[in-house]
Amino acid sequence: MAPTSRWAEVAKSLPSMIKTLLVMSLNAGAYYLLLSYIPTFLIEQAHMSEASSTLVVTIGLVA
Amino acid sequence: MAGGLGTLLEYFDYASYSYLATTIAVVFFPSEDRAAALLSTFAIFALSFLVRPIGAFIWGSLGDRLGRKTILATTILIMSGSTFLIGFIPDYTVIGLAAPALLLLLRMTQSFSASGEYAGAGTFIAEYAPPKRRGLLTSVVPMAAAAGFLLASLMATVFYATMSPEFMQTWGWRIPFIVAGPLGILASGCDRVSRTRRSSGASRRRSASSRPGAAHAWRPRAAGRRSRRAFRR
Repeated sequence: MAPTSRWAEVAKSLPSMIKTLLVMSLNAGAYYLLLSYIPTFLIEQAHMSEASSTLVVTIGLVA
Repeated sequence: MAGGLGTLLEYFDYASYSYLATTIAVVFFPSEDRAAALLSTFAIFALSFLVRPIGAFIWGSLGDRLGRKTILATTILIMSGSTFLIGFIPDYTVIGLAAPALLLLLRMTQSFSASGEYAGAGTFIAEYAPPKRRGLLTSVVPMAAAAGFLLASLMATVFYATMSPEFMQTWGWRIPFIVAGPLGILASGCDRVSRTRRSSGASRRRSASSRPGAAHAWRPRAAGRRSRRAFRR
């Protein structure tokens, strides 16, 4: 396949590529934000103990 | 094995930092304003992610040129070395602002090498796995990432449940970071063992394809030669 036609094919699928990347970024952002911030949120806002807050995450991860 | 252990180590450190954030905030920042201390702790966490794309690009390119295994072992050693050193940073009460500055520097170093480790481990396994088991073996990388998270949350739960807040602030929070040192040596050791086995097999066979990365380095050149011949015709 000639390089120009390869680029044309990439350009054609660019909108769907961008959409996929956006969905992936949203998913990754939410996943990491929730997993890493939840214990701090539970301690600071819900006034749970440190041990209980990390236990919640542990149970969530196992499930 | 080395790729899986390296990824487990990376996510174990990542999750340990966030699960121990409330303790780290007290250790590294002035205790007058708890909210500001927590915000600063998460700001360091976020800032270290800025170097990840740069690290992934540099280590990925180096992996193509120097070999996936060498880069994987190097990134694991740098990553675990910097994580290990985080465990020995003195408190804010001892060295003042140098404590968060050192924390930021080491987190950035850790993040820089970790980005190369994650991408390198996936590519490495995909390249070396037998075609029929490629999907299964590559899934070790995300599996190790989830296991790292789980291990860190389990550890934090046990630590918070069994240790006093005073001990957590002096030594407790340091333990998961210090553990990363020996684990990193173990992970890069796995790589060395497999390399020794591979090289002893290679000396018997003396085939070019047994050299790590040789097959991949040969293909483009051969393709180039073929295309040049076709061009001359």
